[in-house]
Order: sequence, then C-alpha cells, then structure tokens
Amino acid sequence: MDRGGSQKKRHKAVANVDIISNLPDVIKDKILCCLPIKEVLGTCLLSRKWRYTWASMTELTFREDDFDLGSSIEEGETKKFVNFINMVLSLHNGPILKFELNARRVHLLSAGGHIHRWMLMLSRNGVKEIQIRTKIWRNHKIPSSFFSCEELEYACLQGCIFQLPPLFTGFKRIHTLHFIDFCATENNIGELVASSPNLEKLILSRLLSFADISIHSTKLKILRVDGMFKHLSLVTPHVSSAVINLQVNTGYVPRAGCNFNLSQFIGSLLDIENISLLGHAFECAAHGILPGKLPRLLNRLTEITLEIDLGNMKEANAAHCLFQVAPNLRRVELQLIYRGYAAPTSNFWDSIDHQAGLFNNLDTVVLSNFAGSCAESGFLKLLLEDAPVLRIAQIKDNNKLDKESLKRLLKMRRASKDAEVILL
Amino acid sequence: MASAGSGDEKAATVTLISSDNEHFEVPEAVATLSQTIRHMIEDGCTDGGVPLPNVTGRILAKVLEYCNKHAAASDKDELEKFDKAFVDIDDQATLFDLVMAANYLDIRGMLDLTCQTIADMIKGKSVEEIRETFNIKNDFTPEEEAEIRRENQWAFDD
Repeated sequence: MDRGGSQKKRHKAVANVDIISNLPDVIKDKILCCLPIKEVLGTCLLSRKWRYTWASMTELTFREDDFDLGSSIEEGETKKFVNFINMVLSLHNGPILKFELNARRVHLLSAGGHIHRWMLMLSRNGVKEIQIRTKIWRNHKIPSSFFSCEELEYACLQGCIFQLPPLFTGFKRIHTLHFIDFCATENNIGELVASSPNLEKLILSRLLSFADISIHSTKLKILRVDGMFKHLSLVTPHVSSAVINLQVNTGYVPRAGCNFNLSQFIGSLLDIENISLLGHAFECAAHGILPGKLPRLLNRLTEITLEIDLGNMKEANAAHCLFQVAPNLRRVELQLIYRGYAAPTSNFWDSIDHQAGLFNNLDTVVLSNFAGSCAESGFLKLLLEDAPVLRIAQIKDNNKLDKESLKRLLKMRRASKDAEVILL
Repeated sequence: MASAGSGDEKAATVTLISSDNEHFEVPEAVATLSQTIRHMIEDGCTDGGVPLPNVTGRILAKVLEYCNKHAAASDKDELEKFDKAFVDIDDQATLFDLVMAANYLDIRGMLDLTCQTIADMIKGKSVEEIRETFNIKNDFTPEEEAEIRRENQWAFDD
C-alpha cells in the first residue's frame, strides 16, 4: 500500500488551506475517475463537501481484480461484487458517461438478470462509452437495452453475443466498435455496422464465425479483423488502415474463388495508407489479384505487411501486382511462410525486370522467417537492386541460415549506398 | 493542426497575456495544444493578444514549458520522463494551479497528467491520512459519521 511517506516533502500543502475540496466539480470528478472505485467510495467520509461527490462520478469502472475475490471465485464473492455494483448504480446521481465492467472470471451474465438492470439504467443515463469484458465463449447475450443507448460513441464487448432488436434505429453517434472473442452465427455484425452511419473504427478480435459476414461502410477509416471465418465480404473503400488476419481450421485449404472478396476489397480501396494481410488472407486475395486487375494506383499506401509464400506462383504474382500500384511505398514487412502445396516457382523473382522502379521510395524492409530459398533470395536480390533510397533491410532467419548463405546475403548488390542489411 | 508559416517566413505566433500582465509570445503550433486558444485563433480574435485572467505569469510559464515539449512531439519515453519531472513539484498549491490552468485552457494531456498525480496522492491512504495530506477538516459530527458508515456499509465491508 502506497502510504505516500516515501514522497517526503513533495507536494507539501499550504498550511491549513484545503484547496482540493474547493476545486471545480469537473476537476474533482476527473481526479476521482483516476482512482479504483473502492477508494472513491472511501472519500464519502472525508468531510461534508465530499459526502456525495462519489455519487456523481461520470465514469464508473468495475474491475473484479480490484475486489479481492481470491483465485477461485466462489458464489459468495460473486454476490459481493454484484451487490457493490448494484449499490453504486442505485445511489448514483447524474449522468454516467462511461461504464466499464471487467469480469472475466465471475459468472456475471448468467443468473440474476443483473446486467439487464444495469444496462437499462445506463441507457437512461446518456452513456457514451461501454466496455464489458466477460468470460469468453460463454456467449451470453447482451441485453437489448444496450441498443437503446442512443448517445453511445464507443463500445467494446468481449465474450458476448448480441442480436439486433427488431425496432433498432441504429447508433447514430457511434464511432468505434470493438468486439473480442466473438462468435457469430448470423450477420449481426454486418447489420450493426450498417446501422451505424458514423462508424470510423471497427475491430473484430478472435472472431469465430459460421455465418456469411458482410461489412459495408463508407465512413470506416480503421478496420481490424482477425479470427476464423467461413465467409467475409468487405466493402469499405475509404479505410486508411486495414489489418486482416484470416485463420482457418486445420486441414482446410482456401481454394480459388474462396468465400472472401479480398481481391475486390483491395481493388476498391481509395485512401489506404497501410495494409496488413496475415494468416491466409493474402493467400486468398492472391487468387484474384492479377496483372491489370487492380484498377488504380494506391498513392497513399506507404506500408504493406504480408504473410506470404514467395515461392507460390499466385502469391508472388499478386505481390508483384500490389507493389506495382503502390509507388509511394516506404515500408514492407513480409512474414515468410512455406505453404507447401502449390507448385513452387523459383525463378519468378529472377525473371522480373530489376530496373523497373518498383521500390522507388522504399525505406525499410523486414523479412521474417527467412529460410534462404531460391524464391526468397531472388526477391531479396530484386529488392536490394531496385530500391534507390533503402535504408534498412532487416532479415530474421531464426538461425536457419548457414554462414555461407549469410555471407552471400551481405554481399548482394545494393542500389542504395546507405542501405544497411541487418541479420537477426 | 496549426497553420504553419511557409519556410522562409517566421511561423505564426500568438501573444498570451497573464492575469498579472506578463506577455508571452508563443508559436501557434505550441499554443494550439490548448483547445481554448485554438478556438480563439480559428475564430480570429487574437489580435492584440489573448488575455488569460485566470492564469498568473508564473503558472503560464510552466504551462508553456509543457506545451513546448509536447508540441515538439519527441519520442514517447522522452515525453514520459518529462511528464514525470514536470509534476515532481514541491508544493501542492502550484500543482492545483496547474490543474486549474489545464482545465481552463483545455489542455487534455496536462489535465490527465495533473489529475492522475493528485489521484496518486490519494491512492492507498486511509481517510485520516487523506485529510492530513490535503488539510481537509473533518466537519462531521460523530452521529453524522456513524450514519454515513451505515448508509455505505456495503462499500466498506471487507
């Protein structure tokens, strides 16, 4: 327990003057919001002025970790935590702008209907930000009163599922939606996005979907999707930053024309500045990225990150097409992988014109899991010879390369005199 | 974002006038860390200087120290170090003056920093210790105090 004694004479008070109690309410509120809620409650005993200051806090954060619930959560402990929240909410006086509930171990969403009452109260109090993190894969349904929170601007839900109520008119003000450990059996995410006209940021982490998910949004700026899904259609032409990490069940191999419109997605991007395609995302996209298929130059694109098999003909071709439409590319990161089942092509990169000006603005390249295969070495050779302003080439080989190969790498001809090849 | 002057001209500045009539000429890019001043610049009412009747010269100088550092947007670790030293102040009164100034001038980062610092002075302390730290006078009668403890018993049970 920090007793403050170690601070010696720091923050010495002016003799007999109590400044803190006379600060404007908005500042006192901000200070209290920086404290764990139990300590905030303690302030009711300070003086008459402070008796009900806690009750008008605009942000309420309930974390099970702040309550010594012990390592094995028992029924009684859960009751205490729930009761505390019940009390605070019922005695609370004034708007609640932010509500955060961190209860990953406690069975909060199961019995008792507590969360329904809490959500109803929040919807009546103009809440702007809601964060609920619960036990994962419980698939508890978010109460429908969540959708009556008309002032909602930011929502982060972990471990919950939801269903849009029939008369839902949309979240007019919401700018960020963040779903974690989310299991979808229908396109409710897509419907929610469609009813959120001002949505700018959409993050889906560890999504598990058996449904056909379709995300359409013209205002969306930042998109992050990772997880396992069987079908994903993205129409978000104005995103400036996109990270897509597509995992698949073992044994399932994405085939041509697989259920993802990733190649059209990339082709439709107008304002993209950085893009990451990980897992099987680029492999899928590659089926549709062919010479001439990417309709326009992506002038704002400065960073590309790909998980890619450079020896796979389709992927190599697609990568080449992508580089060709990104004249202002400054950073490339490739997480190299050998997928093992496609016809390898060792000479693709050697056959490309090395003076084509492909990497005119490239400043940094990072290659991870470099195994020194023909394709990978061929690509590196091309890049070094064609990048006139390259500064750093970072190659992470996990100690796979022998001394001879490493020497050969370092000896490769470079177009940029300042280029530094770093082996890790 | 402030409108930066073109390369060969001097960057646009704004004059801030403290409550005790000290004048500070500050680049717009620095002054606009204050949303209050930013709106004034956008509304074009900064001719002849911006009077800040709620901030003394001494405090304004410190505020500008913060704004200068943060406007230069150096790296995160450096800023963290600076922030830590910035609030390592000897007397509480200055800390409170800074939090009031940050609120009045609407400088988000500085407001968060100073409020967190004050919160850290409360954290982990008993009621009596908090009173002592901030000179809060206990004006409850014993009956009142007993009533509060009953009213909020659910919060104190541990």
